[in-house]
Amino acid sequence: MSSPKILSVDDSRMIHTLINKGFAPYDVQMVFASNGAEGLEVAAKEMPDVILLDVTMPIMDGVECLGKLKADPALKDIPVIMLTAEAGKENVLKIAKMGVRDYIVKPFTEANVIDRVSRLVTLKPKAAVTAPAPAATAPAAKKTRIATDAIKILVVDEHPAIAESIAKAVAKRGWKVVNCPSPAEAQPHIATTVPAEETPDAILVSLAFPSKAALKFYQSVRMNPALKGVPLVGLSVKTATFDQNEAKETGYCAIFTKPLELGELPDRIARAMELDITPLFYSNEGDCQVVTIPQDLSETGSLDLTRQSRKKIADFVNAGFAKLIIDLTGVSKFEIPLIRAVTSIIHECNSLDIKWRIVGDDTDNLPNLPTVVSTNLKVAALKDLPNPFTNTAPLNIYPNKAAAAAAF
Amino acid sequence: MTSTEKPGSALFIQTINRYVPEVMQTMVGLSATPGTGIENYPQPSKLKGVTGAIGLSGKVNGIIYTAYSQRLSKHIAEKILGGSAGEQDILDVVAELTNMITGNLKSTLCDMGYNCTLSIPSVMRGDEISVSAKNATICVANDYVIEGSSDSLRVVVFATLEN
Repeated sequence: MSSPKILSVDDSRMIHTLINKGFAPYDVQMVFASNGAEGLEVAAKEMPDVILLDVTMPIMDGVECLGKLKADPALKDIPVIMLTAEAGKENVLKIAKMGVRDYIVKPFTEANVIDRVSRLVTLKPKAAVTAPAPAATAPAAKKTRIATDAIKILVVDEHPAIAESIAKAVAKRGWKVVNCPSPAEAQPHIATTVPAEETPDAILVSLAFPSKAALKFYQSVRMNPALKGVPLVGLSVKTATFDQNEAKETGYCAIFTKPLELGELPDRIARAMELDITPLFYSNEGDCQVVTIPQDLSETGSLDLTRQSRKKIADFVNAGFAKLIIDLTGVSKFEIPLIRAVTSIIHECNSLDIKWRIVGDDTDNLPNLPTVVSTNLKVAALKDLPNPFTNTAPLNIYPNKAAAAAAF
Repeated sequence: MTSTEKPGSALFIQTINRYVPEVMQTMVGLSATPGTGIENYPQPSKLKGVTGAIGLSGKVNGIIYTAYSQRLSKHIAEKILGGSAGEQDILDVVAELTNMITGNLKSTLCDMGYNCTLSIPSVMRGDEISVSAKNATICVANDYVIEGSSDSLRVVVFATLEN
């Protein structure tokens, strides 16, 4: 596959120089134009993969150029990222309506531009193209991670107690935490010389460091091509909204507010890393698939399990399975996250004609499970979900998986 | 949310005090420490060195100037471009930095209901650049001490707000 082509349309040579410098470590082709009219010509001739488009330019401004790009059938699908110092709500809404893919507010850093472009095209470090050493191909190696992998989390926070509580919360997944009390002390962990297998998989950074150190740290991370896909999450007190907005604008993918909800934390980190969490819940038993729902299923975990189960269950069907056991033996209290997960899994099974059975302790842990399920289905939060128990036989609860499997 | 409060001199100074250091820190990697600010900047006034200017027109009419000494403009251009900067490079850098500061000021004003458009930046050189805006009701300025330089950056805003 040829290297991605990036067109920068800006009347400022300074911007072209900065963009060119920023992309220098990557295998890309850069083309330039100095106003909207020239940008249209170059776009038609070069057919770039991404266009970086300034707003205020002589001859033809960026907004007019964007309109013409979107009106041209040959060019309309090229993603456009606007670069603008004018980030007022009205201006942003106007360009958003015109079909711009993203926008970057000036002043910007090279790392910020690389980050946004890398969401649209695959950027490979030049080193990876000329000498495909394992360390240089690290971004590709980070693909399709699952929650049972050995995950390494770098926590950059001045308070050791924060890192300790995070370490404790993720230990049940077998994930490791490395703590650095300042961005300066974290530099050795994000250096380009760090072997790929030792780079962090996720980075949590306190936004409370002075002199915008968290934002500068973000830029340092993004300057290392091997850390391109590693998510950075800001840690902040709830009221520090200015810091939070600034961090999001810089590129932090999420903000976790302190005090941290430790029960949610592993799943929130998994979400930031786009991990597949289904291996934590699904297993094979004979010709049945089993999904085991734990009592401590978090709100985030429930939502992600619900979302990821759709694909997982469809994959079962493709693989020839037709039976699913929902194991609720660890459940003693039927709370909203559990109800959501169970009902959506059952609904998915019904849609795909998969037979399902529930295993649970109806006498001790979860008395009157059918009634509890039916009642809870009326909870407002679930009202848009079709009732999975409609048109099915009376809900039986089996005491163990063997009994459930025998009942299919 | 659009505010009904009419922006005054203090808000203009606050806004440039927010964005000048942000632009300098992000683009140049240098801190810019604001002075106390001048709420009734006299006009006409003289600026000297390399001066960027951008006009605002709409519900706010006016002009913003950023004045650098020759030495400071060269220092900043070279810091941004990572090498020696020629005459054209310096003019280009001053124009772009003025654009970033003004664009952010414009965004603040637009979010308060004072929509306006910006002109293309122009850059002047000289020891006695006379600046004024006859009907301006907002005449503010501030000096910014740039890290590692004995010269300051002066930012001047003249503006009239529609009633």
